[in-house]
Amino acid sequence: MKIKIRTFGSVAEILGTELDAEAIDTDSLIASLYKSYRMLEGRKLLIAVNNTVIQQNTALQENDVVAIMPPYSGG
Amino acid sequence: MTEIERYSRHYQLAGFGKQAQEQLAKSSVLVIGAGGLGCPVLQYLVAAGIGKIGIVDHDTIELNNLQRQVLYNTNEVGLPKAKVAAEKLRLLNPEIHISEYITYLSTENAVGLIEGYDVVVDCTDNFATRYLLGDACMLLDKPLVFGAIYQYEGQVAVFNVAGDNGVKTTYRHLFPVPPSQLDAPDCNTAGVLGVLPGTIGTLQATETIKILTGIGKPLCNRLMTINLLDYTSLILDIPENLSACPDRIPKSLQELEKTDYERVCGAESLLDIQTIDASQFVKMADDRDVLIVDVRELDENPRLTFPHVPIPLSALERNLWIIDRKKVVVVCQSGKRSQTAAGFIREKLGETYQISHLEGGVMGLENA
Repeated sequence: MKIKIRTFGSVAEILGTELDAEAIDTDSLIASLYKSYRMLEGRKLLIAVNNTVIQQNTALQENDVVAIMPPYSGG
Repeated sequence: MTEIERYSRHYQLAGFGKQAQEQLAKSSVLVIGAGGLGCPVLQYLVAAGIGKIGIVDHDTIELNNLQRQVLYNTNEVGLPKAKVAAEKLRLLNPEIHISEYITYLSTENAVGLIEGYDVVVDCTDNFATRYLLGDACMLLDKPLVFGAIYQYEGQVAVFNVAGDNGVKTTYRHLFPVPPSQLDAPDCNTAGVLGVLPGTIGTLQATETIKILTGIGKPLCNRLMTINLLDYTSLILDIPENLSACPDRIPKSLQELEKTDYERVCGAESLLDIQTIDASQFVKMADDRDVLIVDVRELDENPRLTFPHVPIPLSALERNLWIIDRKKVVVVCQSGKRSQTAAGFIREKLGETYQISHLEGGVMGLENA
């Protein structure tokens, strides 16, 4: 499936704010990102598919938008 | 009469009026943190006429705060934020009650402080306090207006308030496990655009007023993010079926009191870090299998006189590839940054690496 990734905060510094990717589900997408971008490894990240937060592996459809967001600590 | 004059623009406002204004006067709000987010939150809530406001902050005003913490003046550097804020806010609106608490939010005082207020606003600047506050509000079923910032971007959400479907969510639904502080650098290390906390804090004050008066649609079970550079904004739904990682959340107030949040937040990876003293360090410095990493900034003195690699903490993440040996000793000036950096290296590179850090830092080495 061709999908779009949107990133936020410090994750955007690693991946860029938007990128295209291909994956069948969120687990395989994240695994391939960890592999290509070592700086992501071990990060606590929030994943959302089409603007809904997910925790379990989620199947992806063509043109889905996956948001990857780190926690922010500043105040 | 002055009250009518003061709030006349609220009275005139369609959909708000006398009823909503009276609701605010009957309400109480506790603001945790009187920094970048806390300043606008406090100013707008005090101006709006919330009946009772509490301010919790242990910090004193620093010169580098003034670029964004607009409640403070240059001649107040060194004074406690909670005290200065309370004094100024009383001048802004003498008709409401303001209490200042010059203290850290801790597992000992959290419940006592939170219980006395209707709504809590999270204006903290570190994960340990955020998780403590989030867990305490969840256990007390207290509405929590969350805000957090990073450089040019901010997050806002309303926790522990039921959405249309009756479900309540918390910060743990977004990030069940606390990250380490290095995973999400704070304003001190990453910098922040001065107006960002103004924007996000104003949104937090807005959400607080919406919850208290029942107007509009607050961000219950939703997380809003905004980027000031291009105004891209996104609202994520937090579905009810998510687990908030229940095994990690204290299940009672008694358990909360026993939780060490400083340790839970980021210190997890420190468990496997060895601490070495100056004499052990001198021995290890001769070992060719050991890589010594100096995480001080490049202009800090004295420089080390034996073989080592300098990787400033601020550039550690992108330079981890330099670490080419399995035994690593991390050093800094006092032993504080080296501990953080050692935990980070351990977490990123994994268990096959043996990581230690020099207690007391280079300063301790000098004296030994």
